[in-house]
Amino acid sequence: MTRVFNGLWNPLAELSRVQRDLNCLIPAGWRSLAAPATSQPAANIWQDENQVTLTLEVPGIDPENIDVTVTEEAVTLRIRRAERELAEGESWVRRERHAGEIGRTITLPCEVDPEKTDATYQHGILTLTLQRPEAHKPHKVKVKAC
Amino acid sequence: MSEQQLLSTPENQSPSRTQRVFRPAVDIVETPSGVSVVAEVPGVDEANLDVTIERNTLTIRGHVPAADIGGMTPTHLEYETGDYERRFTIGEDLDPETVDATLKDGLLTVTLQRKQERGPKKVEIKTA
Repeated sequence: MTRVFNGLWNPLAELSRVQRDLNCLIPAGWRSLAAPATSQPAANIWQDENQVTLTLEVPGIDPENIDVTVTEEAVTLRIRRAERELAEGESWVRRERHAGEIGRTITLPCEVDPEKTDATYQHGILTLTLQRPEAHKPHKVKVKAC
Repeated sequence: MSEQQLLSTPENQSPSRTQRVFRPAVDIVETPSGVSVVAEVPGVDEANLDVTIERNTLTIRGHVPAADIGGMTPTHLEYETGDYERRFTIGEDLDPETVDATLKDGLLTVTLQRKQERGPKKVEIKTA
């Protein structure tokens, strides 16, 4: 529907309105680059020759409700997000955060030693530090002159 | 409480910002005594969080320092690091003076209480 302002159609105002309407359609988790379009937490992975580091955005979780299982090739997470139960007289105005139990298995870019895993949770970020086995660490080869 | 339109795009960043600005997911619950807003701001600590009320606008801003994983190489990235910002227009029945904000585990909770209803005021008549 074309809006009329003082009898004149304002194309810039119309474009602005369309932009605002489209913005309303963008889900809250839109900034995730590659994660599936579900309530799964987004993960970033870094590595160097000694270790692999995973960071996941999981705000508002009691660390007791985070289960981490590590194998040589993958990390499996089970996270329980408590759902807010409304008391009498309360009502939802807006509900964008996900609740419930989620599970996710992330394949690692290289083999790790499951026994040497460190997990920390700070400011809603879960950080897993996994050590690469000595045998799998890259070795520099010295080239000898013939 | 209604949300003002705030596009989380670089065009809407203030000139001083060097990072992208994202719109945090929120839950808003109306309670008998007021309103509770819960916003997800993972990576933000107290020192980098700013909650303001100006006139009838509640603004939440959080700064997340750029990720520094000890010079490691990123091999798989599903989310970007950036700041958070979102604005809300608060109803006239809410009292801005009662605003309260707490941050725990990347979750910001802002509460506002309703204004106390003011009944008719009896005027005492003094004798001259």
